[in-house]
Amino acid sequence: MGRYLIRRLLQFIPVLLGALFLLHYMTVVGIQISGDPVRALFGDNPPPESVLAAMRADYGLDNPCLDRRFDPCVAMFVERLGQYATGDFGIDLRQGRPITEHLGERFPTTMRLALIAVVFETVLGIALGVLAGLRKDRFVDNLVRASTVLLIAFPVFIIGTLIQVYVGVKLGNWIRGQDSMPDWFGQMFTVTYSADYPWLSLILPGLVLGAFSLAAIARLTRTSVIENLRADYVRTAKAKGMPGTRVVGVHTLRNSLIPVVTYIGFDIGNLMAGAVVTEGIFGVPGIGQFVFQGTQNKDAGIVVGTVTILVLVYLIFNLVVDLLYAVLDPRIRYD
Amino acid sequence: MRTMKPLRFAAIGAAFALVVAACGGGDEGDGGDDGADGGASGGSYITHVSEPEQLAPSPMCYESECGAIWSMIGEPMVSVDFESGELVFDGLLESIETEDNTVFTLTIKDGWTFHNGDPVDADALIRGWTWTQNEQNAADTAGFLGKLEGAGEANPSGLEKIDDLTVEVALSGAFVEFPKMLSFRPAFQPQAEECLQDTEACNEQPIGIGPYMMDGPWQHNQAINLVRYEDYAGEAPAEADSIQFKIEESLVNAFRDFSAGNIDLLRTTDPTVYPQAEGQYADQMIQEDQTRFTYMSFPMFEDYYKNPDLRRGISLAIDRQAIIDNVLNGIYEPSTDIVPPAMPGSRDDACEYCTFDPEQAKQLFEQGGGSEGDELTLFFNADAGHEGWVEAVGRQLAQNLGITFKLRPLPWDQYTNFIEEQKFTGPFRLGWSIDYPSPENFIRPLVDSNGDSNYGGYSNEELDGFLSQGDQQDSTDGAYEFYHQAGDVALDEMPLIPLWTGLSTIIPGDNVSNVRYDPATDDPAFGEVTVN
Repeated sequence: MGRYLIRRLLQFIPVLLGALFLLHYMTVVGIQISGDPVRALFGDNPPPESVLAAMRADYGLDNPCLDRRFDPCVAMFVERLGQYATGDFGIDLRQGRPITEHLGERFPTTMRLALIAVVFETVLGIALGVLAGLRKDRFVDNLVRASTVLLIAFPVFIIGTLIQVYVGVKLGNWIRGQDSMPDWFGQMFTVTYSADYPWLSLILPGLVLGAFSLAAIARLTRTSVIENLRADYVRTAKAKGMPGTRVVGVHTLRNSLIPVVTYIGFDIGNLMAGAVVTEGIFGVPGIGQFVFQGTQNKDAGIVVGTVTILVLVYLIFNLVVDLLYAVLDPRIRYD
Repeated sequence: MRTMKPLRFAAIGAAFALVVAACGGGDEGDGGDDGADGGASGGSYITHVSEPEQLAPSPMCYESECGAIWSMIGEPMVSVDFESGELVFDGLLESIETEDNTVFTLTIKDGWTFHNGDPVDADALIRGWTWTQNEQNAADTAGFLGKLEGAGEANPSGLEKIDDLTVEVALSGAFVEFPKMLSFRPAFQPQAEECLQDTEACNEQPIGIGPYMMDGPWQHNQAINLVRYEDYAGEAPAEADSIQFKIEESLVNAFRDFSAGNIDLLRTTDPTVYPQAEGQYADQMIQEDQTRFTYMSFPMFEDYYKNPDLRRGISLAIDRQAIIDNVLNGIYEPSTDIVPPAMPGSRDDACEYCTFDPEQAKQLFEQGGGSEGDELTLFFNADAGHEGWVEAVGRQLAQNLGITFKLRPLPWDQYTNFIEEQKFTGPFRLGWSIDYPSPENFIRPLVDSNGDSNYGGYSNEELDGFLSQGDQQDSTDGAYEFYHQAGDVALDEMPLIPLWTGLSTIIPGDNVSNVRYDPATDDPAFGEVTVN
């Protein structure tokens, strides 16, 4: 177990370095192909050229390699690595604030959002999946199947906007207008994120964010449960006269969870990085929005720094998932 | 995916709307309101901004969002009456005197203080202006002091202290409109010593001299809170006790928050939700001419576009009103001048070729070397809501001139690269918005041979001559005469096609009143808003 862990952790290093270089190369080529990100920060009325030149120098964007297409700018990469090694992630192009400061503000928000989404999708998804699996081809099963297909079919920005307008604005306005309702209750019907209610105002966005994965988890669980119900050890357990709840809860479900856990582990990374659309609709100042802004502004510092951290998050959660396999399936051992 | 764009491009199409000045003190009835403790009505209200790039030192502020904050925590040196174009001394300055429009003597009103209690005097003014123009600081608004003698240096020779309240400013050449530039707040604010000693701390909690001050530091991505500055010595109204600028990720979010009652005053309505907003709030919406316009510039470095008749023909073939009505929700007005109607010195009959006349259009187009079947490429920046109307322009040209057209949308960073490197091969879309209230501010940058934003490469000595003659006049009227002549040359030769000017789309909620569009800041006059 210990050796396995160390081996896995050592594997992080080449993966991180590779990701860093790819990110660096892509942002550099982006600048080489489409042009100066500093000028593009300004609109129709730009500041004088001397100001732009000074900004370019400040951000190291006056390096001549940026004029040569597809030049990997290795010197810039080495400099960046050196900075990262000392914990310095640089400053962003638009505001000139340290990127670590941005991340410090945004990570907790994204974590809360992802947590709400994960809890929602896991609890409800598994419950629905088990229910549907146990009652295969009956009404409940058909209902779950139909509604999950519907959830998967609609893009997030449609579901999100509809929920924002009808639940957040219309229903929310009605609820906030009722004198008998406590103030915090109205805040659950979020239109946009409110820093005064850091959890409540993330519930609605969290549900929207988790909706797609909820459908996926429900379907995975359902299939898995159906399959395992026919397995030998389940039949044996039933034959022993074991109570039904234990047969389903321990023997069937535990084994059915392996694909689901794989999915959730992978999904946590997705929820943090891929929440761009949901964060945008509900105005949540999180990581997804930050990376999106970074790509729009060709802000290499934001993109490389933040995505590297996200890569790390993916790696860690994948490791946790692999370790969880051993817990769920006694046949798996890490020696 | 659209959430980030509207912000940035609202700012671009619209603006980087430079906040000029004139806090309304001049034209509203409550001018007798003697500063803070006069007849202020109290209460507080919430409006919105998008996360500003930087708040302080103020010369770093050259976009609409920090501009909205500085319109309240800053103070214009002077303001300009938008009807007459004349100066109004309702800001920090008591007087401006000059004999030759080159050396100006500025006198500061006595008794003003910064929000941290420091006195506002000649030293503070010189400290601020020196910081603005010093190349070391790379201030976004450095260009406003580009005409200063010794501009760019750490101690420019053009700034001299006469006594505690008097400063002498020397320019490198005569410029009659210089005093009007001073109405732009961020570039010309006096700066507190404390702010320049630690600019990072100051950025988190700027120190101004205006009617409102920061109430606690800037809460990034959440809110900027302002509270009335009780020792304010000026005339600008501060009706509400406090104002919260809630930070929104996009204008669509701002509108949704407004619908849900989380915001009391909507500064701008996003075009994508405009039809919905019009349905719900048509009676409340404040639509006034804005101090900005949209145009298409010709690449004068391309032989095809060198003949003025061809350019005139193209302009005449565009039915501006039809596009506004059918594609742009009706929230624009056709241009009649390079200078938008809300600006002083704008004219409503200056542009002969801005009308719609398909017959003359075709005749001129062919006289100018164009012929049926030519292919025109129209350039615009993508994802900023321009697709619809640029295509409509193309269709009208196709219909009225018999040409074929190609659309070429580019992302903004690539677009600016095309601008700087003169890579356009056909007409390209751009906009311009006010820096300071003078017609010169629209003409010189766009069509002077050395204009900072003359991206089409147009050059005409006669026009340049009119502009510099205008600069040397000693009265507004005299200067306008020459600026108008310069404008006439441009409108005759048509190096760019003026298209339309925007209307504001401010929506006040039920609990605020007295909301007025201020052309100087291109925003509501926040200080005048009363809470019901």
